[in-house]
Amino acid sequence: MNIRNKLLLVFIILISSQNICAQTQTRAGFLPTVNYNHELNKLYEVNLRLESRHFIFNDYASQSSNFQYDYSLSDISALVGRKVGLNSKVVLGFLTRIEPDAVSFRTIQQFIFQTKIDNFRVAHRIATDQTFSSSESTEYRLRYRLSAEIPLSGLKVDVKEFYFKFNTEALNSIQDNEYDLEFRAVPNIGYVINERHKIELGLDNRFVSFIDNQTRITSWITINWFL
Amino acid sequence: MNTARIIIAIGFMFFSFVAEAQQKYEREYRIKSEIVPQSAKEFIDSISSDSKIKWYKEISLNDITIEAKFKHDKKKFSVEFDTLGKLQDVEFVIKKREIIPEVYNQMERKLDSLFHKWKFRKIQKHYSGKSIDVVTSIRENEPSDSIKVSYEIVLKGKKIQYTQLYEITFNEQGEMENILEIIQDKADHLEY
Repeated sequence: MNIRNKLLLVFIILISSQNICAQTQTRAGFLPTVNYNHELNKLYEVNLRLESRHFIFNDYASQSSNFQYDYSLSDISALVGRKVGLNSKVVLGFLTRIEPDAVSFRTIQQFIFQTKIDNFRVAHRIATDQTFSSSESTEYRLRYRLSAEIPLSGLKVDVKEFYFKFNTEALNSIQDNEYDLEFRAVPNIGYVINERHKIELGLDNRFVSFIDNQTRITSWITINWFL
Repeated sequence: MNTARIIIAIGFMFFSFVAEAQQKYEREYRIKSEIVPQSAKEFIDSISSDSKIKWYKEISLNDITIEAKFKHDKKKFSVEFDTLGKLQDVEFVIKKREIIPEVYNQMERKLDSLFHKWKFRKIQKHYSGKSIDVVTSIRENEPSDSIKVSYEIVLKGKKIQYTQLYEITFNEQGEMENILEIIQDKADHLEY
């Protein structure tokens, strides 16, 4: 498949996910992320992440205009990863969520392993987290994410080349003895600027409240900067 | 104490830069067969392939080469040429049991001395020499005396604390010629 066909396929996926969003109660916005990764030595690495949410569309509430800018929150997280195998690591960390009127904290535990199928890389992430806040009961989540990277030219992604990345994740949560299920599907187009920097543009679709038949969708236009 | 910390921090930054500088720079592009030198295409035609031939241009720090990848006799082949189409080498994937037992035992002894634990990921047999001799060796599935044979092995090796991928070259007799630590591509965008 040449690069033109690959880009066309990616475009179709992006458009189809937009069509799904158009049929259900939807919120949409921007989700810019800065992701800094630093290898301390051959075993340990640190990941610092800054992410913020900005709504530009919201039809959850009956408003005169659904299009309205609304700053939602910012997340700051720090994770420490330890390599436990050639392609696997255990990650522990902490996240602080800052909202205009509240602050909450999350502890994070992850196990990540990578596989390779021909010329695309796949990463699996099994994670648990616990969110603590003063106004709500603690929320416990168990999640599994699969991320696949497909080079858009050549056998692997090199500097100054584009790639397609697709993340899909299932999140189980329990809060106040209430169970919920959420799905995420995130197609991204990425570009490797140089050895250190990558930039990605994507659409993060979150299907919330999957089991109580009142599914709502939140779609984020994501801009990720990895350094 | 503060000065010591700053020196350590600068040291980390410096060593991470050096580590990156040591990475093997290599880029490959898929290319159309129309732009491949005729002599390279003729060489590949002389080996009957079981599959479609994929052509690549590979750029490294010191070299630009043209590479053909295909299947022959149910084996994965990779043939490298210079930009003028002159044959550089042929490599193909083999199984452990295809190595002569004495040669394999020699390799095994060396690997046991290097690693606490090890496991093969990929074994490739290398042929280099005159085009005609290399083609004959491939066709007859037996290397002729006039070509150089070596084994390029990718393995997962565990030393005291960590596991790493290595590329190790052995000669025809099973003596180690070269060892390289494979620096894996960063995957922070897939993991975090």
